[in-house]
Amino acid sequence: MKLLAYELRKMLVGRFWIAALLTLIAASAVLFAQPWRLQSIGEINQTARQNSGFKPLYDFLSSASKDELDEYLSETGFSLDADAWEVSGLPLPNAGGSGRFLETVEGEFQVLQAYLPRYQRTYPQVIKSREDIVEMARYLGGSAYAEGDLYNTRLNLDIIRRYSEQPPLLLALSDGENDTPAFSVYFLTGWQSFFDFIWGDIFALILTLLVTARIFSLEKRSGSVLKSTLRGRKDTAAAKLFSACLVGGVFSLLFSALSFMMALLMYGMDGASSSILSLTPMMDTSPLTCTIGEAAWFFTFYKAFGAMCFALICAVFSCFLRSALTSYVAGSVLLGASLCWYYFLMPRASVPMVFRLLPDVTLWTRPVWMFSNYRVANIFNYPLLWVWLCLIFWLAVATLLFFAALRYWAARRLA
Amino acid sequence: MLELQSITKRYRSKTALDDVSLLLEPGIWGLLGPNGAGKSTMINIIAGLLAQTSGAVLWDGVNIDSLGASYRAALGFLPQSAGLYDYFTARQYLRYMCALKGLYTKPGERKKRELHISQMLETVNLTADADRRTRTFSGGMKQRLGIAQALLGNPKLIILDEPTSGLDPQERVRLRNAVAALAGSRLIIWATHIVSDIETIAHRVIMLKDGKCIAVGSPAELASGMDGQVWSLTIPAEKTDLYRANYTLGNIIVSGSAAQLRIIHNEKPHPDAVSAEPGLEDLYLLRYEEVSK
Repeated sequence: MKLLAYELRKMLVGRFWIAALLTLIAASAVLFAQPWRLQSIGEINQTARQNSGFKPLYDFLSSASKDELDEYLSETGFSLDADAWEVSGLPLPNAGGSGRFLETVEGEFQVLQAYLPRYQRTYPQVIKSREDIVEMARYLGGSAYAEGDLYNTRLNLDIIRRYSEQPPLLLALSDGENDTPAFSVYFLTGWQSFFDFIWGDIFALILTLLVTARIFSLEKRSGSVLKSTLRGRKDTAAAKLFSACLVGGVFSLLFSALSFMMALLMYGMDGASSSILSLTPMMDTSPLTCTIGEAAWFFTFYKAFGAMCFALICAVFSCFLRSALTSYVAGSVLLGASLCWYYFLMPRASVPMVFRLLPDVTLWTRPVWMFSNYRVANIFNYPLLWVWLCLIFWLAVATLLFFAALRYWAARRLA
Repeated sequence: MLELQSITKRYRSKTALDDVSLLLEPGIWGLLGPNGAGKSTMINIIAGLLAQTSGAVLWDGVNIDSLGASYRAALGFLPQSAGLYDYFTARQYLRYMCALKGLYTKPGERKKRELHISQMLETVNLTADADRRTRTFSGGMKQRLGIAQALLGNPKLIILDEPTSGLDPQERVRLRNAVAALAGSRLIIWATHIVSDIETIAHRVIMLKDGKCIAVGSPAELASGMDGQVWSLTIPAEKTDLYRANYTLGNIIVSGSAAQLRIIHNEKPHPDAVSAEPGLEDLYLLRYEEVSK
């Protein structure tokens, strides 16, 4: 532990890192807020809840039962294609700012509107599509079983198991059969923004690269002394690698926390207990059935794991290349190539997943995409979700690199 | 006891150490040789930092590769450049080195550790600067702190590579005395190209030339081999260049129009030349002058 603390200190001491951290935090906040979209910068501090004009509608929609909501929708004549919003029945804000980073009051309705059609149109579709998936899996699974196709039998059983499970919020819609639970409407814009915002994760990776790609090369002059001591070899190398992972993980968590805070301030973060399927249409066929809140924790740690892997790779570059400059170049190439890889290959569905996913070290920054569909690989006749396969792959790579770096640093070699 | 068995180190076409075999018993060993003689290569091999091409290094009869961490626990090492961390104070740096050396790591040993660190700082005359960041230190102060870390834990084997570089004469004397006092049952290897550093304190001297060990012995033994080869001669100052071209010269003292030369030659260079008491420096000049000629 003492060596770990010393390594952290050696790695992070200096004003440059504080300046770099603050700069990237500021950049992340600006990119999240996109203040150029504001009518007035003074609106930043207002939240959805502070917008008194909108609150009655919001409160009503938050607590409305399904029948009340249906009645409201039919009364208001809410239409997607309307040029101007005409709403009756409830007072609506008709002047001033929206209270959030939306340009006009209309923006409020655009946000609100995102639910109503989902409630009216998409949710039943979600349920139907999941039922269809299960039905198809039963059919294909049965055929596979009859043909003795072990993998496809297992694959379809897995699909049936995952898609038969009712997601939390969708349960509430199945009224009539149960106790007619109240239908809740939440603003998910905050969560959507939180999940969609990729820059915070990229900045976390950049900062991780800057800090960890010099962790061994900073011993260029002191390495001889270190390596001549009792704990200066494997223990010190392990402390360096662990501290790099720790820093990567903490940076990722820090930027995730920043995104959360920004989303909370700008949009509010209601609806944590809603199904993740209600987040975006992209998630309609997700194999996940957890709530948004659970997914937020899960995705945050998922991203942190990715940052830790990246930190370890940068630290290993530093160990093998023995120069801060070459390590920075190697780390930058890896990061840049991963992003290019993603943007170049991801739209090409014809490219096998193994090439699209595994080499991309930034895939961790896109958990929503990773979990948005049922994508599996055939591993010894067992279906394994690609997202877990990537995790296992990078865990294996990280473990291998960890021990390779340990061995390299401990060898009889001048620093 | 440290034993070097036929150590050879080759870097592609260059042989840095050529079949060096030595048995080093406790005491102060001076490792003497000009730049490029192979001192640092030998030091790094003994410190376990560099793999030899062939041969073996034994510590108390056991190969240091097999000993691993237990060998390093007995080792205190000062390389040519200690490479301190700018943002550590001297005391913090020594604390870090204690952690690396596994010294006083148990709970309740903090006071002992602080006392030991204070003693080391005192030894190298850095007590007053103990809580200053090392980036504010002069070259000499950094070197002294490097020496302090090598001495931490009173290791049985201390290797000092050019420890006096950057030190002023007062600090050199202080360091010499401190190292001399440490000797006892320890083995101290002091690599240098400055003869005066080790002449008075080394029990044995190893002379390296072109990667080969050319002489081993006590300073007195080595110097005695020069009996009848060191001369003192006073000549007109303008003739100095003539003598420099034909003989190996030691000190030259110019006084007015006369110059007093210390000439190293196996025959009397001039009828007026007077035999002088040979020293280690004379041997050094003779042996390594041959290289340059």
